[in-house]
Amino acid sequence: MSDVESSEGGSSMKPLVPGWDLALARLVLAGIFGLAAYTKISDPQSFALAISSFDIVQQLPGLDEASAEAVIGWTAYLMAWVEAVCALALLLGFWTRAAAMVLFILLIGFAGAMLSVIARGMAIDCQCFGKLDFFGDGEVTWKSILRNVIFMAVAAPVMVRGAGGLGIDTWWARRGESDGS
Amino acid sequence: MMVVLRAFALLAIGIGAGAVHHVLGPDISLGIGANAPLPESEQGSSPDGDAQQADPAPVDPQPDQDADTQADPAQVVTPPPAEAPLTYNDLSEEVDIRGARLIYEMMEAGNAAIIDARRADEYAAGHILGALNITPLQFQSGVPEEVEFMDPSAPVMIYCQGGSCTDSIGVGQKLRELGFQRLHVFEDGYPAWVEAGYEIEEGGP
Repeated sequence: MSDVESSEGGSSMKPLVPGWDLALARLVLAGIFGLAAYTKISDPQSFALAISSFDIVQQLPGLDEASAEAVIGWTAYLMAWVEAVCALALLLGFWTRAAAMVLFILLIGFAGAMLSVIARGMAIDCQCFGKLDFFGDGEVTWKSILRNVIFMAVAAPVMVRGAGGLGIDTWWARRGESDGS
Repeated sequence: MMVVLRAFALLAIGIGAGAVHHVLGPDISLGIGANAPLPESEQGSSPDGDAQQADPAPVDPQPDQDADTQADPAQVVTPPPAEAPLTYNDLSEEVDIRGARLIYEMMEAGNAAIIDARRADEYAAGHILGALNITPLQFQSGVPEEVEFMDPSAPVMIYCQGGSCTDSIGVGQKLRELGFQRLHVFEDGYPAWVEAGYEIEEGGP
């Protein structure tokens, strides 16, 4: 199934409000991850410290301290930019399902990291949105994981069905239909 | 299948952009294994000449006996001989046990503050005598009350558990944003202080 098919609902899935529910979900996700990416890109040092405080990379086998620091540094930059690219794609409604899929997988990873922190009894600041305090950002607790699950619930229909209204994918699909008719 | 390929393409674009930013952007220093230097600051920034006049007189790094009388004698040992006299101007943003001792003595004289950035239960189990307990999380709900009463121009030493602990860095960042200039991270943290046999106390804030 391609983006085009899913954006238009193919022939099997028709939203109650054609396209606009998906557009809203897409734009909400774009806003959340765009803001998160902006704070991380503008202050990669803080984001790297946040990653470091999870104490996950340092526990990886075969990594000495210098290697762990390098991995964390690269992770901070790469993760922030992947979020930024996906947020932009969602904003434009371009390759929407693919962008939502990447963010969905990232959210699973974040939730796993949070579970690890809780399981180890650590009390650390999530800093999931950099210096900004959004959506109850603060100490990693079960509420942090619940928040991630909610984000995943928003991302899932976009990942499955596509851009909805006001998206390049949708515009492209309609253009293809009109050309074909 | 197309969606997966596009997902990989988005990943590749993001990774490429991140790699370029990493190469061109600021270096990240975490100091894993020893607490990191405070970011966006000048390494080894000792007070300038004007500030030096406001500093207390150089303090001998050797712990004096009067200070030791405050501690449990069982926990106090004779510190190793100093290699050379240490003054505040010799300190960088990362301080070792000698620097920590120096700032402790400045705190005793009312010219510095020490912050324990660990969790409240860890602080209650034992901390440097006279240290305040301020954690990164406390800044989530605004400026902690203790910070409001602190002098931003006075030296402040922050410590946590040493090792890979980054709470001291987190507190240092917040304090720097609030205008504190003479921030020092005790890189080996509380375990090194205990190991040296210096003054500690138990109990909550």
